[in-house]
Amino acid sequence: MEIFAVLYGLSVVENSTEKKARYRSFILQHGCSKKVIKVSPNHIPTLETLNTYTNSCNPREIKHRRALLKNLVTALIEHESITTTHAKAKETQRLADRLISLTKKNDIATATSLAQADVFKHGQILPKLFGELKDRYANRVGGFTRVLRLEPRIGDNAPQSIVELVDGGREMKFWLTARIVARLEQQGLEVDDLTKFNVEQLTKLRANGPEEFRTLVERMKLEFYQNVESFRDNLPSENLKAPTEPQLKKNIRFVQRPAKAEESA
Amino acid sequence: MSLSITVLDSLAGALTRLPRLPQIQVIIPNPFAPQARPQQAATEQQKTLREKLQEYINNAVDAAPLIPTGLLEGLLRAVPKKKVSHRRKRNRQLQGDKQLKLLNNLNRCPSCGHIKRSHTLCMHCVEQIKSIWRTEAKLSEKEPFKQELDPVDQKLIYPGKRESPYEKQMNNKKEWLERRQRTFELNRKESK
Ligand SMILES: [Zn+2]
Repeated sequence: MEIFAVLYGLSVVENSTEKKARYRSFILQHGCSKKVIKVSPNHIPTLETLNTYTNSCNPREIKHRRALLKNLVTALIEHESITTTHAKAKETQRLADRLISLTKKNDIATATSLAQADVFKHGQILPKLFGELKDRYANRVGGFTRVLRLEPRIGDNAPQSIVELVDGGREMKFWLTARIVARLEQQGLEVDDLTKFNVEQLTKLRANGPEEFRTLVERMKLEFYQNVESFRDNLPSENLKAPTEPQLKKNIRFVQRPAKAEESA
Repeated sequence: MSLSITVLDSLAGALTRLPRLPQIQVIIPNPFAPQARPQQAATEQQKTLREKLQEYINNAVDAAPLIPTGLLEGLLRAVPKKKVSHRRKRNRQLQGDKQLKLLNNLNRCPSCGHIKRSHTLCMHCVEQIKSIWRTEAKLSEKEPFKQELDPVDQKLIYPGKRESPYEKQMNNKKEWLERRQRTFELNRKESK
């Protein structure tokens, strides 16, 4: 009866601790709905509240959605960059960020066991997560992933976007910025403020970032802007400005995250 | 006990012997049932129909489909009761949210100079970079293991595939696959 009460979101007032524990175990097994969150907000595990783009109480649907998300995250860690619809991209970003911040825990054994639940291909993904990615993001506190919007998909017109691991081998923003700098240098123009800001941000925490960026710029020159004379008219120049001037976030101050009391002790 | 049973039996026997009313039978004549026609020689009209049918069967590929000429057409099918008036139709087709909307969030791609939506990437440049990644991945791929076989065994194990004309047609994806069009370019001379 209790189980049905939870399933249909009935407001059953339960005082005994045993029954509360039973609710909790049910929610852990089958995920949860919005209605259940209202019943016991403290006991819901973070990974089970993944109902943002569809709200459903059906356990089968929730399991399917979990598997989908696991697949997406696995693909992201394996290939460093994936293209999906925007809603899925945001969910994937959330889970991937959480997985990478797990690697920063002192107790690696529990961290691995927690990470196992959210990822397929354990033999391939877990060593990468706790080896390569942990080293790569040692200096970062958060923001390990980036979502870039794309044009809507052909066919069903669904909004698409790219999810990518920051400082990875397939970072679209890194490559596009290198292309922009290559074009400006080939045209003999000055690099504008926004691009300068982007270059600084992209190369700051990357392992030998500036050198990599330099080589990529030279490659882009060969790849796309070898013969500038032929398409000089088509390329943007200093006379062509964006309709709205880009505004940099100069007022934001970055503050270091305070260390947790438990970990330090 | 035994006496009463025998009495009942005899009663039942008597009942069966009683005269009964005849069973009621209602017969509704079926207007669609095939009527037994007196076999006559086919009239001229029927002859021509038969000939037409024969022709149709003989060259079914080129012939136009026969239109059934039944009297029940207008009676049995659902049709709108009234003509939709000009005003109603125009109102429906030109509703506010059905019209094309203007895009005010347009920008210029900083690497190729064509128009793009603001806060989104230029699909052309993204595709070009993705193609670089794809070629890189192909180069780094290992060649699949190939076993050296007898020509006879080769033919037996890999007999090859014979494509139907439809499959051949579909192989040429450039003809039928919908591709993203490139956006217009912002010309420097025009914008000055
Ligand atoms: Zn572009």
